[in-house]
Amino acid sequence: MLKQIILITDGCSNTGLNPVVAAAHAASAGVTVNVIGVVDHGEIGKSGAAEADAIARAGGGMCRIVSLRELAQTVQMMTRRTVAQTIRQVVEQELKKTFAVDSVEKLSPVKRAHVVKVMDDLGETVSLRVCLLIDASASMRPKLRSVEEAVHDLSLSLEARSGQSEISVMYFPDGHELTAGVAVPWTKAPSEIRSVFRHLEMQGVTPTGPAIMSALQYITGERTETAGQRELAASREAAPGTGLLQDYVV
Amino acid sequence: MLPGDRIVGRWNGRSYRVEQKLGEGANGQVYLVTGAAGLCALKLGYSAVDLQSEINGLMELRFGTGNSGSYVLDTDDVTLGGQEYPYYVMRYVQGVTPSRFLAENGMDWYPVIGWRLLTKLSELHDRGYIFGDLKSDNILVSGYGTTELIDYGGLTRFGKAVRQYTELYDRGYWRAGPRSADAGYDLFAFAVLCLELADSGGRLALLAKDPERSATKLVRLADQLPACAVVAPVLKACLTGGLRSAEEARAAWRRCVYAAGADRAEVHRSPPAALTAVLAGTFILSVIAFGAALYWSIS
Ligand SMILES: Nc1ncnc2c1ncn2[C@@H]1O[C@H](COP(=O)(O)OP(=O)(O)OP(=O)(O)O)[C@@H](O)[C@H]1O
Repeated sequence: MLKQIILITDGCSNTGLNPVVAAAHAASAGVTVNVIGVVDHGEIGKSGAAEADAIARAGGGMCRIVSLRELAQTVQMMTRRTVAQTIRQVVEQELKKTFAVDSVEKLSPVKRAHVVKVMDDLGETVSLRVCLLIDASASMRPKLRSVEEAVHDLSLSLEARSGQSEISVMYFPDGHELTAGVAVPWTKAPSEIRSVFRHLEMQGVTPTGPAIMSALQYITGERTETAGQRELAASREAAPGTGLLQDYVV
Repeated sequence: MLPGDRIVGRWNGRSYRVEQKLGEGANGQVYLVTGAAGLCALKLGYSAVDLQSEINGLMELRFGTGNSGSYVLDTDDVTLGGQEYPYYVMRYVQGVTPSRFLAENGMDWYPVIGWRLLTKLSELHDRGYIFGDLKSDNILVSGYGTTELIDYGGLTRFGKAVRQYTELYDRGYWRAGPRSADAGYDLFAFAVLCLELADSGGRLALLAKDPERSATKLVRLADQLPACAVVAPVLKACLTGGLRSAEEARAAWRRCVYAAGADRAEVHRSPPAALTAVLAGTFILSVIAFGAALYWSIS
Protein backbone atom coordinates (compact mmCIF):
# COMPACT_ATOMS: atom_id res chain seq x y z
CA MET A 1 0.00 0.00 0.00
CA LEU A 2 1.22 3.49 -0.87
CA LYS A 3 0.76 6.04 1.87
CA GLN A 4 0.99 9.77 1.66
CA ILE A 5 0.21 12.80 3.77
CA ILE A 6 -0.61 16.07 2.07
CA LEU A 7 -0.14 18.99 4.43
CA ILE A 8 -2.07 22.12 3.51
CA THR A 9 -0.98 25.19 5.42
CA ASP A 10 -0.59 28.93 5.11
CA GLY A 11 2.12 29.72 7.56
CA CYS A 12 4.80 28.65 9.97
CA SER A 13 4.53 26.23 12.85
CA ASN A 14 4.91 27.88 16.24
CA THR A 15 4.72 25.17 18.84
CA GLY A 16 5.67 21.57 19.55
CA LEU A 17 7.98 19.18 17.72
CA ASN A 18 9.92 20.51 14.72
CA PRO A 19 7.76 19.56 11.69
CA VAL A 20 10.85 18.77 9.61
CA VAL A 21 11.79 16.09 12.12
CA ALA A 22 8.23 14.78 12.09
CA ALA A 23 8.35 14.54 8.28
CA ALA A 24 11.61 12.62 8.48
CA HIS A 25 9.89 10.12 10.81
CA ALA A 26 7.19 9.70 8.21
CA ALA A 27 9.65 9.22 5.34
CA SER A 28 11.52 6.55 7.28
CA ALA A 29 8.23 4.73 7.79
CA GLY A 30 7.64 4.78 4.03
CA VAL A 31 5.06 7.54 4.21
CA THR A 32 5.55 10.43 1.77
CA VAL A 33 4.85 13.95 3.03
CA ASN A 34 3.82 16.56 0.44
CA VAL A 35 3.27 20.18 1.35
CA ILE A 36 1.03 22.80 -0.19
CA GLY A 37 1.37 26.36 0.98
CA VAL A 38 -1.74 28.34 0.08
CA VAL A 39 -1.60 32.05 -0.45
CA ASP A 40 -4.75 34.07 -0.68
CA HIS A 41 -4.29 37.79 -1.00
CA GLY A 42 -1.50 37.95 1.49
CA GLU A 43 1.52 35.74 1.28
CA ILE A 44 3.03 32.83 3.08
CA GLY A 45 6.21 34.71 3.98
CA LYS A 46 9.81 33.71 3.57
CA SER A 47 10.04 31.59 6.70
CA GLY A 48 6.74 29.86 5.92
CA ALA A 49 7.92 28.96 2.42
CA ALA A 50 11.28 27.76 3.69
CA GLU A 51 9.65 25.57 6.32
CA ALA A 52 7.18 24.11 3.81
CA ASP A 53 10.06 23.27 1.52
CA ALA A 54 12.12 21.66 4.29
CA ILE A 55 9.16 19.55 5.46
CA ALA A 56 8.63 18.22 1.94
CA ARG A 57 12.32 17.46 1.48
CA ALA A 58 12.50 15.58 4.75
CA GLY A 59 9.26 13.80 3.92
CA GLY A 60 10.47 12.67 0.49
CA GLY A 61 7.68 14.60 -1.19
CA MET A 62 7.22 17.83 -3.08
CA CYS A 63 6.29 21.34 -2.07
CA ARG A 64 4.22 23.88 -3.98
CA ILE A 65 3.15 27.38 -3.00
CA VAL A 66 -0.12 28.03 -4.85
CA SER A 67 -3.13 30.33 -4.90
CA LEU A 68 -6.49 29.05 -3.66
CA ARG A 69 -7.70 28.64 -7.20
CA GLU A 70 -4.97 26.12 -7.97
CA LEU A 71 -5.44 24.11 -4.79
CA ALA A 72 -7.63 21.30 -6.16
CA GLN A 73 -5.40 20.77 -9.17
CA THR A 74 -2.28 20.76 -7.04
CA VAL A 75 -3.66 18.15 -4.65
CA GLN A 76 -4.49 15.96 -7.67
CA MET A 77 -1.13 16.44 -9.28
CA MET A 78 0.78 15.64 -6.07
CA THR A 79 -1.19 12.51 -5.39
CA ARG A 80 -0.65 11.23 -8.92
CA ARG A 81 3.03 12.13 -9.03
CA THR A 82 3.72 10.56 -5.65
CA VAL A 83 2.14 7.30 -6.76
CA ALA A 84 4.10 7.38 -10.02
CA GLN A 85 7.38 8.17 -8.30
CA THR A 86 7.01 5.50 -5.66
CA ILE A 87 6.22 2.90 -8.29
CA ARG A 88 9.11 4.08 -10.36
CA GLN A 89 11.54 3.63 -7.46
CA VAL A 90 10.33 0.10 -6.88
CA VAL A 91 10.48 -0.75 -10.57
CA GLU A 92 13.96 0.68 -10.95
CA GLN A 93 15.23 -1.44 -8.05
CA GLU A 94 13.83 -4.40 -9.92
CA LEU A 95 15.45 -3.26 -13.17
CA LYS A 96 18.84 -3.16 -11.54
CA LYS A 97 18.47 -6.82 -10.64
CA THR A 98 17.02 -8.00 -13.95
CA PHE A 99 18.61 -5.84 -16.61
CA ALA A 100 21.49 -4.21 -14.74
CA VAL A 101 20.23 -0.76 -15.72
CA ASP A 102 19.21 1.77 -13.12
CA SER A 103 16.62 3.85 -14.92
CA VAL A 104 13.73 3.45 -17.31
CA GLU A 105 15.33 5.95 -19.71
CA LYS A 106 18.23 3.60 -20.38
CA LEU A 107 16.05 0.78 -21.66
CA SER A 108 15.58 0.20 -25.37
CA PRO A 109 12.25 1.47 -26.73
CA VAL A 110 10.83 -2.05 -26.84
CA LYS A 111 11.69 -2.92 -23.23
CA ARG A 112 10.71 0.55 -22.10
CA ALA A 113 7.26 0.15 -23.63
CA HIS A 114 6.78 -3.03 -21.64
CA VAL A 115 8.07 -1.67 -18.34
CA VAL A 116 6.02 1.53 -18.59
CA LYS A 117 2.93 -0.58 -19.23
CA VAL A 118 3.59 -2.42 -15.97
CA MET A 119 4.12 0.90 -14.18
CA ASP A 120 0.86 2.30 -15.51
CA ASP A 121 -1.03 -0.82 -14.48
CA LEU A 122 0.46 -0.63 -11.01
CA GLY A 123 -0.42 3.05 -10.74
CA GLU A 124 -4.01 2.24 -11.53
CA THR A 125 -4.33 -0.81 -9.27
CA VAL A 126 -2.04 -0.38 -6.25
CA SER A 127 -3.86 0.37 -3.01
CA LEU A 128 -3.49 3.87 -1.81
CA ARG A 129 -4.02 5.86 1.33
CA VAL A 130 -4.05 9.65 1.30
CA CYS A 131 -4.36 11.71 4.47
CA LEU A 132 -5.06 15.38 3.92
CA LEU A 133 -3.73 17.26 6.92
CA ILE A 134 -5.25 20.70 7.15
CA ASP A 135 -3.89 23.64 9.06
CA ALA A 136 -7.06 25.03 10.64
CA SER A 137 -5.48 27.94 12.43
CA ALA A 138 -7.46 31.18 12.33
CA SER A 139 -5.90 32.55 9.16
CA MET A 140 -6.96 29.46 7.22
CA ARG A 141 -10.66 29.89 7.98
CA PRO A 142 -11.58 31.78 4.81
CA LYS A 143 -9.75 29.15 2.78
CA LEU A 144 -11.54 26.09 4.10
CA ARG A 145 -14.18 26.18 1.41
CA SER A 146 -11.52 25.76 -1.23
CA VAL A 147 -9.97 22.99 0.83
CA GLU A 148 -13.30 21.19 0.91
CA GLU A 149 -13.56 21.54 -2.81
CA ALA A 150 -10.08 20.08 -3.26
CA VAL A 151 -10.98 17.12 -1.02
CA HIS A 152 -14.06 16.48 -3.08
CA ASP A 153 -12.15 16.75 -6.34
CA LEU A 154 -9.45 14.33 -5.20
CA SER A 155 -12.05 11.88 -4.01
CA LEU A 156 -13.60 11.81 -7.49
CA SER A 157 -10.31 10.80 -9.05
CA LEU A 158 -9.55 8.22 -6.40
CA GLU A 159 -12.94 6.62 -6.79
CA ALA A 160 -12.33 6.14 -10.49
CA ARG A 161 -9.20 4.03 -9.85
CA SER A 162 -9.38 0.26 -10.07
CA GLY A 163 -7.23 -0.14 -6.96
CA GLN A 164 -8.48 0.36 -3.44
CA SER A 165 -8.17 3.98 -2.39
CA GLU A 166 -8.80 5.43 1.02
CA ILE A 167 -8.86 9.04 1.96
CA SER A 168 -9.06 10.81 5.29
CA VAL A 169 -9.02 14.42 6.41
CA MET A 170 -7.36 15.64 9.62
CA TYR A 171 -7.08 19.13 10.99
CA PHE A 172 -4.96 20.88 13.56
CA PRO A 173 -4.98 22.15 16.19
CA ASP A 174 -7.85 20.11 17.57
CA GLY A 175 -9.37 22.40 20.18
CA HIS A 176 -6.73 22.94 22.79
CA GLU A 177 -4.85 19.75 21.92
CA LEU A 178 -1.64 19.98 19.95
CA THR A 179 -2.42 16.79 18.06
CA ALA A 180 -4.60 16.64 14.97
CA GLY A 181 -8.26 15.68 14.98
CA VAL A 182 -10.01 13.52 12.43
CA ALA A 183 -12.53 15.43 10.32
CA VAL A 184 -13.23 12.55 7.94
CA PRO A 185 -12.19 9.02 8.98
CA TRP A 186 -10.76 6.62 6.36
CA THR A 187 -13.33 6.16 3.70
CA LYS A 188 -13.50 4.27 0.42
CA ALA A 189 -16.60 6.04 -0.83
CA PRO A 190 -15.13 9.49 -0.63
CA SER A 191 -17.59 11.23 -2.90
CA GLU A 192 -20.05 10.98 -0.05
CA ILE A 193 -17.94 13.44 1.89
CA ARG A 194 -19.98 16.60 1.86
CA SER A 195 -19.14 18.98 4.59
CA VAL A 196 -15.66 18.40 5.91
CA PHE A 197 -15.31 21.01 8.58
CA ARG A 198 -18.54 21.41 10.45
CA HIS A 199 -17.68 22.68 13.88
CA LEU A 200 -14.14 23.84 14.00
CA GLU A 201 -12.84 25.99 16.78
CA MET A 202 -10.24 28.24 15.26
CA GLN A 203 -7.10 28.68 17.31
CA GLY A 204 -4.11 30.89 16.95
CA VAL A 205 -1.44 28.23 17.37
CA THR A 206 0.02 26.11 14.57
CA PRO A 207 1.46 22.87 15.93
CA THR A 208 2.50 21.45 12.56
CA GLY A 209 5.06 18.97 13.94
CA PRO A 210 2.73 17.24 16.40
CA ALA A 211 0.03 17.23 13.71
CA ILE A 212 2.27 15.36 11.26
CA MET A 213 2.98 12.82 13.99
CA SER A 214 -0.77 12.36 14.53
CA ALA A 215 -1.31 11.85 10.84
CA LEU A 216 1.57 9.37 10.76
CA GLN A 217 -0.01 7.41 13.61
CA TYR A 218 -3.31 7.41 11.80
CA ILE A 219 -2.00 6.44 8.38
CA THR A 220 0.17 3.61 9.68
CA GLY A 221 -2.66 2.27 11.80
CA GLU A 222 -0.90 2.99 15.10
CA ARG A 223 -3.90 5.01 16.06
CA THR A 224 -7.02 3.24 14.94
CA GLU A 225 -9.53 5.08 17.03
CA THR A 226 -10.30 8.63 17.95
CA ALA A 227 -12.87 9.93 20.34
CA GLY A 228 -16.26 9.81 18.72
CA GLN A 229 -14.99 8.02 15.61
CA ARG A 230 -15.82 4.57 14.39
CA GLU A 231 -13.00 2.15 14.63
CA LEU A 232 -10.86 1.90 11.58
CA ALA A 233 -11.45 -1.24 9.62
CA ALA A 234 -8.46 -3.54 9.89
CA SER A 235 -6.21 -2.70 7.01
CA ARG A 236 -5.40 -5.51 4.67
CA GLU A 237 -2.27 -4.24 3.18
CA ALA A 238 0.33 -5.85 1.05
CA ALA A 239 3.90 -5.46 2.20
CA PRO A 240 5.44 -2.43 0.61
CA GLY A 241 8.65 -2.60 -1.37
CA THR A 242 9.49 -5.28 -3.88
CA GLY A 243 6.38 -7.33 -3.11
CA LEU A 244 4.56 -4.82 -5.21
CA LEU A 245 5.96 -6.30 -8.37
CA GLN A 246 5.48 -9.94 -7.55
CA ASP A 247 2.42 -10.37 -9.77
CA TYR A 248 4.17 -8.91 -12.74
CA VAL A 249 6.86 -10.36 -14.88
CA VAL A 250 9.14 -7.57 -15.91
CA MET B 1 15.75 22.89 -31.59
CA LEU B 2 15.97 25.19 -34.56
CA PRO B 3 14.99 24.83 -38.22
CA GLY B 4 17.72 22.96 -40.07
CA ASP B 5 18.82 20.95 -37.01
CA ARG B 6 19.21 17.23 -37.49
CA ILE B 7 17.83 14.55 -35.20
CA VAL B 8 19.37 11.11 -35.38
CA GLY B 9 17.79 8.36 -33.33
CA ARG B 10 20.03 6.54 -30.90
CA TRP B 11 18.36 3.15 -31.30
CA ASN B 12 16.93 3.03 -34.82
CA GLY B 13 19.33 5.47 -36.43
CA ARG B 14 16.67 7.20 -38.52
CA SER B 15 17.32 10.84 -39.16
CA TYR B 16 15.06 13.86 -39.44
CA ARG B 17 15.53 17.48 -40.39
CA VAL B 18 13.70 20.05 -38.26
CA GLU B 19 11.55 22.41 -40.35
CA GLN B 20 9.74 24.40 -37.69
CA LYS B 21 8.20 24.24 -34.24
CA LEU B 22 4.50 23.36 -34.29
CA GLY B 23 3.64 23.77 -30.68
CA GLU B 24 4.41 23.12 -27.08
CA GLY B 25 2.48 21.59 -24.20
CA ALA B 26 2.88 20.28 -20.69
CA ASN B 27 4.46 17.03 -21.87
CA GLY B 28 6.77 18.19 -24.59
CA GLN B 29 7.41 20.10 -27.79
CA VAL B 30 6.17 19.22 -31.25
CA TYR B 31 8.17 19.92 -34.42
CA LEU B 32 7.49 19.62 -38.11
CA VAL B 33 10.29 17.46 -39.52
CA THR B 34 11.29 15.84 -42.80
CA GLY B 35 12.27 12.19 -42.64
CA ALA B 36 12.72 9.46 -45.23
CA ALA B 37 8.93 9.25 -45.51
CA GLY B 38 8.43 12.99 -45.99
CA LEU B 39 6.86 15.54 -43.64
CA CYS B 40 5.92 14.29 -40.18
CA ALA B 41 5.38 15.68 -36.70
CA LEU B 42 7.92 14.81 -34.01
CA LYS B 43 7.06 15.07 -30.33
CA LEU B 44 10.04 15.55 -28.06
CA GLY B 45 9.08 14.54 -24.52
CA TYR B 46 10.20 15.90 -21.18
CA SER B 47 9.72 12.59 -19.38
CA ALA B 48 10.52 9.20 -20.90
CA VAL B 49 7.90 7.49 -18.75
CA ASP B 50 5.06 9.89 -19.55
CA LEU B 51 5.87 9.92 -23.26
CA GLN B 52 6.13 6.13 -23.38
CA SER B 53 2.80 5.86 -21.65
CA GLU B 54 1.26 8.00 -24.39
CA ILE B 55 2.97 5.92 -27.08
CA ASN B 56 1.70 2.71 -25.50
CA GLY B 57 -1.86 3.97 -25.75
CA LEU B 58 -1.42 4.84 -29.40
CA MET B 59 0.18 1.51 -30.22
CA GLU B 60 -2.59 -0.46 -28.53
CA LEU B 61 -5.08 1.49 -30.54
CA ARG B 62 -3.29 0.51 -33.70
CA PHE B 63 -2.84 -3.15 -32.89
CA GLY B 64 -6.45 -3.31 -31.83
CA THR B 65 -7.77 -3.00 -35.37
CA GLY B 66 -5.04 -1.98 -37.74
CA ASN B 67 -7.23 -0.02 -40.11
CA SER B 68 -6.18 3.39 -38.84
CA GLY B 69 -2.74 2.87 -40.33
CA SER B 70 0.15 3.74 -38.10
CA TYR B 71 -0.19 7.02 -36.29
CA VAL B 72 3.14 6.43 -34.54
CA LEU B 73 5.86 6.09 -37.18
CA ASP B 74 9.00 5.83 -35.04
CA THR B 75 10.02 6.03 -31.39
CA ASP B 76 13.56 6.73 -30.29
CA ASP B 77 15.87 8.86 -28.13
CA VAL B 78 18.16 11.68 -29.16
CA THR B 79 21.04 13.45 -27.42
CA LEU B 80 20.73 17.22 -27.52
CA GLY B 81 23.17 19.46 -25.70
CA GLY B 82 24.49 16.49 -23.73
CA GLN B 83 21.05 15.40 -22.58
CA GLU B 84 18.93 12.46 -23.70
CA TYR B 85 15.40 13.18 -24.87
CA PRO B 86 12.76 10.65 -25.84
CA TYR B 87 10.63 11.32 -28.90
CA TYR B 88 8.11 9.78 -31.21
CA VAL B 89 7.27 10.59 -34.78
CA MET B 90 3.68 10.75 -35.95
CA ARG B 91 1.61 11.72 -38.92
CA TYR B 92 1.64 15.47 -39.53
CA VAL B 93 -1.85 16.85 -39.17
CA GLN B 94 -2.61 20.14 -40.88
CA GLY B 95 -5.15 22.62 -39.68
CA VAL B 96 -6.12 25.20 -37.12
CA THR B 97 -8.12 25.00 -33.89
CA PRO B 98 -11.90 24.82 -34.35
CA SER B 99 -12.44 28.30 -32.92
CA ARG B 100 -10.02 29.77 -35.41
CA PHE B 101 -11.53 27.81 -38.28
CA LEU B 102 -15.00 29.08 -37.38
CA ALA B 103 -13.75 32.64 -37.01
CA GLU B 104 -12.19 32.48 -40.47
CA ASN B 105 -14.90 30.55 -42.29
CA GLY B 106 -18.13 31.29 -40.46
CA MET B 107 -20.44 29.48 -38.07
CA ASP B 108 -22.06 27.57 -40.94
CA TRP B 109 -19.25 25.08 -40.45
CA TYR B 110 -20.12 24.48 -36.79
CA PRO B 111 -22.40 21.50 -37.40
CA VAL B 112 -19.85 19.96 -39.76
CA ILE B 113 -17.09 20.07 -37.18
CA GLY B 114 -19.40 18.68 -34.50
CA TRP B 115 -20.38 15.82 -36.75
CA ARG B 116 -16.77 14.98 -37.62
CA LEU B 117 -15.80 15.03 -33.97
CA LEU B 118 -18.59 12.70 -32.98
CA THR B 119 -17.47 10.37 -35.76
CA LYS B 120 -13.90 10.36 -34.43
CA LEU B 121 -15.09 9.71 -30.88
CA SER B 122 -17.37 6.95 -32.03
CA GLU B 123 -14.45 5.24 -33.83
CA LEU B 124 -12.34 5.35 -30.68
CA HIS B 125 -15.19 4.08 -28.52
CA ASP B 126 -15.70 1.15 -30.88
CA ARG B 127 -12.15 0.12 -30.06
CA GLY B 128 -12.75 0.33 -26.33
CA TYR B 129 -11.09 3.67 -25.62
CA ILE B 130 -12.18 7.19 -24.81
CA PHE B 131 -10.16 10.21 -25.92
CA GLY B 132 -10.33 11.75 -22.44
CA ASP B 133 -8.75 15.16 -22.89
CA LEU B 134 -11.09 16.57 -25.53
CA LYS B 135 -10.59 20.33 -25.87
CA SER B 136 -10.12 22.99 -28.50
CA ASP B 137 -6.30 22.76 -28.34
CA ASN B 138 -6.38 19.07 -29.20
CA ILE B 139 -8.35 19.41 -32.41
CA LEU B 140 -7.14 20.54 -35.83
CA VAL B 141 -9.57 21.50 -38.59
CA SER B 142 -8.69 22.05 -42.25
CA GLY B 143 -10.13 22.12 -45.77
CA TYR B 144 -13.87 21.56 -45.87
CA GLY B 145 -14.13 20.96 -42.15
CA THR B 146 -11.82 17.93 -42.00
CA THR B 147 -11.32 17.40 -38.29
CA GLU B 148 -8.49 15.48 -36.61
CA LEU B 149 -7.69 14.74 -32.99
CA ILE B 150 -4.13 15.28 -31.78
CA ASP B 151 -2.46 14.70 -28.39
CA TYR B 152 -3.61 11.29 -27.24
CA GLY B 153 -2.28 11.71 -23.68
CA GLY B 154 -5.77 11.26 -22.27
CA LEU B 155 -6.56 8.05 -24.14
CA THR B 156 -8.12 5.70 -21.57
CA ARG B 157 -9.57 2.20 -21.72
CA PHE B 158 -13.27 1.99 -20.86
CA GLY B 159 -13.77 1.57 -17.13
CA LYS B 160 -10.38 2.98 -16.08
CA ALA B 161 -9.67 6.31 -14.39
CA VAL B 162 -9.37 9.06 -17.03
CA ARG B 163 -5.65 9.59 -17.54
CA GLN B 164 -5.56 13.25 -18.45
CA TYR B 165 -8.25 15.89 -18.51
CA THR B 166 -8.75 19.64 -18.51
CA GLU B 167 -10.97 21.09 -15.80
CA LEU B 168 -13.22 23.14 -18.05
CA TYR B 169 -14.33 20.05 -19.97
CA ASP B 170 -14.21 17.58 -17.10
CA ARG B 171 -17.45 15.92 -16.03
CA GLY B 172 -16.17 15.63 -12.46
CA TYR B 173 -15.36 19.31 -12.27
CA TRP B 174 -18.96 20.16 -13.20
CA ARG B 175 -20.19 17.63 -10.61
CA ALA B 176 -21.99 15.73 -13.31
CA GLY B 177 -20.57 12.26 -12.83
CA PRO B 178 -17.51 10.15 -12.15
CA ARG B 179 -14.06 10.68 -13.61
CA SER B 180 -13.91 7.23 -15.11
CA ALA B 181 -13.84 6.34 -18.78
CA ASP B 182 -17.19 5.74 -20.44
CA ALA B 183 -18.76 7.10 -23.62
CA GLY B 184 -20.59 9.73 -21.57
CA TYR B 185 -17.31 11.22 -20.36
CA ASP B 186 -16.20 12.15 -23.88
CA LEU B 187 -19.71 13.28 -24.80
CA PHE B 188 -19.80 15.63 -21.84
CA ALA B 189 -16.50 17.20 -22.89
CA PHE B 190 -17.82 17.36 -26.44
CA ALA B 191 -20.88 19.31 -25.29
CA VAL B 192 -18.78 21.77 -23.27
CA LEU B 193 -16.55 22.26 -26.30
CA CYS B 194 -19.60 22.95 -28.47
CA LEU B 195 -20.85 25.49 -25.95
CA GLU B 196 -17.44 27.12 -25.90
CA LEU B 197 -17.42 27.42 -29.71
CA ALA B 198 -20.93 28.90 -29.70
CA ASP B 199 -20.23 31.28 -26.85
CA SER B 200 -18.79 34.60 -27.95
CA GLY B 201 -19.54 36.43 -24.72
CA GLY B 202 -17.35 34.47 -22.29
CA ARG B 203 -20.36 33.13 -20.42
CA LEU B 204 -18.99 29.61 -20.17
CA ALA B 205 -15.80 30.86 -18.53
CA LEU B 206 -17.91 32.74 -16.03
CA LEU B 207 -19.96 29.65 -15.18
CA ALA B 208 -16.77 27.65 -14.72
CA LYS B 209 -15.61 30.04 -12.00
CA ASP B 210 -18.90 29.82 -10.13
CA PRO B 211 -18.53 27.74 -6.94
CA GLU B 212 -22.09 26.54 -7.52
CA ARG B 213 -21.29 25.30 -11.04
CA SER B 214 -23.34 22.37 -12.27
CA ALA B 215 -24.51 20.55 -15.38
CA THR B 216 -27.89 22.23 -14.94
CA LYS B 217 -26.29 25.60 -15.50
CA LEU B 218 -24.60 24.31 -18.64
CA VAL B 219 -27.94 23.03 -19.88
CA ARG B 220 -29.41 26.48 -19.37
CA LEU B 221 -26.51 28.00 -21.31
CA ALA B 222 -27.17 25.59 -24.20
CA ASP B 223 -30.70 26.95 -24.35
CA GLN B 224 -29.53 30.55 -24.36
CA LEU B 225 -26.76 30.59 -26.95
CA PRO B 226 -28.26 31.26 -30.39
CA ALA B 227 -25.23 29.83 -32.21
CA CYS B 228 -25.92 26.32 -30.95
CA ALA B 229 -29.71 26.47 -30.94
CA VAL B 230 -30.04 23.89 -33.72
CA VAL B 231 -28.14 21.20 -31.83
CA ALA B 232 -29.09 22.26 -28.30
CA PRO B 233 -31.16 19.08 -27.70
CA VAL B 234 -28.11 16.92 -28.42
CA LEU B 235 -25.85 19.05 -26.25
CA LYS B 236 -28.30 18.88 -23.37
CA ALA B 237 -28.54 15.10 -23.67
CA CYS B 238 -24.72 14.89 -23.63
CA LEU B 239 -24.55 17.08 -20.52
CA THR B 240 -27.10 15.08 -18.58
CA GLY B 241 -25.93 11.61 -19.55
CA GLY B 242 -29.00 11.01 -21.68
CA LEU B 243 -27.13 9.29 -24.50
CA ARG B 244 -25.64 5.83 -24.37
CA SER B 245 -23.01 6.19 -27.08
CA ALA B 246 -21.29 8.55 -29.47
CA GLU B 247 -23.11 6.71 -32.24
CA GLU B 248 -26.41 7.71 -30.69
CA ALA B 249 -25.20 11.30 -30.34
CA ARG B 250 -24.22 11.24 -34.01
CA ALA B 251 -27.66 10.12 -35.08
CA ALA B 252 -29.31 12.81 -32.98
CA TRP B 253 -26.90 15.44 -34.26
CA ARG B 254 -27.63 14.54 -37.86
CA ARG B 255 -31.37 14.65 -37.30
CA CYS B 256 -31.19 18.18 -35.85
CA VAL B 257 -28.79 19.53 -38.46
CA TYR B 258 -30.51 18.07 -41.52
CA ALA B 259 -33.94 19.25 -40.38
CA ALA B 260 -32.64 22.76 -39.76
CA GLY B 261 -30.73 22.82 -43.05
CA ALA B 262 -33.83 21.84 -45.02
CA ASP B 263 -35.84 24.48 -43.19
CA ARG B 264 -33.65 27.42 -43.98
CA ALA B 265 -35.26 29.70 -46.55
CA GLU B 266 -32.26 31.61 -47.84
CA VAL B 267 -29.38 29.80 -49.48
CA HIS B 268 -25.88 30.40 -48.19
CA ARG B 269 -22.80 29.56 -50.10
CA SER B 270 -19.71 30.09 -48.07
CA PRO B 271 -16.71 27.94 -48.94
CA PRO B 272 -13.78 28.28 -46.51
CA ALA B 273 -12.09 31.67 -46.69
CA ALA B 274 -8.84 30.24 -48.00
CA LEU B 275 -10.67 28.68 -50.95
CA THR B 276 -12.58 31.89 -51.60
CA ALA B 277 -9.28 33.70 -51.79
CA VAL B 278 -7.85 31.14 -54.18
CA LEU B 279 -10.97 31.26 -56.35
CA ALA B 280 -10.98 35.07 -56.31
CA GLY B 281 -7.30 35.00 -57.25
CA THR B 282 -7.97 32.65 -60.14
CA PHE B 283 -10.82 34.84 -61.30
CA ILE B 284 -8.73 37.99 -61.26
CA LEU B 285 -5.94 36.22 -63.12
CA SER B 286 -8.30 35.04 -65.82
CA VAL B 287 -9.74 38.55 -66.17
CA ILE B 288 -6.25 39.92 -66.62
CA ALA B 289 -5.44 37.17 -69.12
CA PHE B 290 -8.65 37.91 -71.00
CA GLY B 291 -7.85 41.62 -71.03
CA ALA B 292 -4.37 40.92 -72.32
CA ALA B 293 -5.70 38.65 -75.06
CA LEU B 294 -8.25 41.29 -76.04
CA TYR B 295 -5.60 43.99 -76.17
CA TRP B 296 -3.37 41.72 -78.24
CA SER B 297 -6.06 40.89 -80.76
CA ILE B 298 -7.18 44.53 -81.10
CA SER B 299 -3.68 45.84 -81.62
N1 LIG C 1 0.46 15.42 -35.32
C1 LIG C 1 0.51 16.75 -35.26
N2 LIG C 1 0.46 17.49 -36.37
C2 LIG C 1 0.53 18.83 -36.32
N3 LIG C 1 0.64 19.55 -35.19
C3 LIG C 1 0.70 18.90 -34.03
C4 LIG C 1 0.63 17.46 -34.00
N4 LIG C 1 0.71 17.07 -32.71
C5 LIG C 1 0.81 18.20 -31.98
N5 LIG C 1 0.81 19.31 -32.75
C6 LIG C 1 0.92 20.71 -32.30
O1 LIG C 1 1.72 20.79 -31.13
C7 LIG C 1 1.01 21.30 -30.03
C8 LIG C 1 1.38 20.60 -28.71
O2 LIG C 1 1.19 19.20 -28.85
P1 LIG C 1 0.51 18.30 -27.73
O3 LIG C 1 -0.84 18.88 -27.40
O4 LIG C 1 0.59 16.89 -28.19
O5 LIG C 1 1.51 18.54 -26.52
P2 LIG C 1 1.25 18.21 -24.98
O6 LIG C 1 2.53 18.46 -24.28
O7 LIG C 1 0.65 16.86 -24.84
O8 LIG C 1 0.19 19.33 -24.66
P3 LIG C 1 -0.88 19.40 -23.50
O9 LIG C 1 -0.28 20.28 -22.47
O10 LIG C 1 -2.05 20.06 -24.21
O11 LIG C 1 -1.19 18.02 -23.06
C9 LIG C 1 -0.45 21.13 -30.39
O12 LIG C 1 -1.26 22.09 -29.81
C10 LIG C 1 -0.41 21.29 -31.92
O13 LIG C 1 -0.42 22.64 -32.27
